Amino acid sequence: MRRKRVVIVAGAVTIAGLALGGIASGLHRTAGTPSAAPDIRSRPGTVEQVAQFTSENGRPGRQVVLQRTDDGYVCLWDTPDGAAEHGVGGCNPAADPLGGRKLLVSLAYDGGPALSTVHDARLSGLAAPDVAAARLVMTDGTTRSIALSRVATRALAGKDYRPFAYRVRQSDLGKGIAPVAVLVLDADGRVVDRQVTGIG
Amino acid sequence: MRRKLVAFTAAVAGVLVTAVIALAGTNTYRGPMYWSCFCDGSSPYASQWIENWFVKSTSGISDTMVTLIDNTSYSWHGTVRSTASAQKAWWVSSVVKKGYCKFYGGTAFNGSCFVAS
Repeated sequence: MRRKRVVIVAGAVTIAGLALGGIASGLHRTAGTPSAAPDIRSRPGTVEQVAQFTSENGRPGRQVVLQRTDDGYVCLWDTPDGAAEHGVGGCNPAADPLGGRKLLVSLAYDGGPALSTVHDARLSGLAAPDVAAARLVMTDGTTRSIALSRVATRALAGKDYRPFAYRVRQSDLGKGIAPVAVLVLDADGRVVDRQVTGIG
Repeated sequence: MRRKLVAFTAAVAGVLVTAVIALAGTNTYRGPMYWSCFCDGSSPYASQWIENWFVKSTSGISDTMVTLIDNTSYSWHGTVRSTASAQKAWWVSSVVKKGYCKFYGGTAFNGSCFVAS
């Protein structure tokens, strides 16, 4: 009787331990659950700077870094120091870093949600290799040109995407003008993708 | 036989304790769920949160945001908005804060929001 109890307890502990251990170590991964979150611990050779925000008007410079994680994600981080762990941004599966689109863009900001209290707003992203230009559309209908880089990203992302970093002008924010969308264009000037964004 | 069983149980219990410790620094405050509404969620307030994650089953088609909100000015910190499959807001501060996530538009998905210390 006692032996039977020991076997039952051992079995229950084993099942619970393996289940929890598997979740904690990322073995049991289900899309859309915390178990599927990327492992973003930086290792040598897995993180590279691909763009930067220069310091201006009291706002410090920042680095945009590309990361290939051990568990199959490509991430783009807007960071104060180049460390993925300290970044804001996002990740997509490495098989398709742009998620089936022509661009991946993150809008990061501090302050808000009221536009008048936002004190730093930045766009970072990747455009497809065949994208020739990018534009930021503002709430007043005007556009801003976004410079695309030609830094090699093939080693980490599989293709030479075109990274970018654009800091929203404080003068725009001060006038109540905010980003609403990012457009990417081909060599003939045709819009090939559009990503809606915004503050608040 | 019984000694081996006890040793094995102790080893598995060790794995369990390690797993519990690893999971203890997170709080899943919305989901896992099917996001068929343009809705949002908030975590409990605490000073130890430094990361806020939105993990989704889609990439490129669901426009979402994560941020950390302090409990004095209710200002947003380390906010990020995108269609990426996984998003992270990051803000290191000793003030009391909560995680907040929101689905703005696009295709419904399976997803979760969680804060981590």
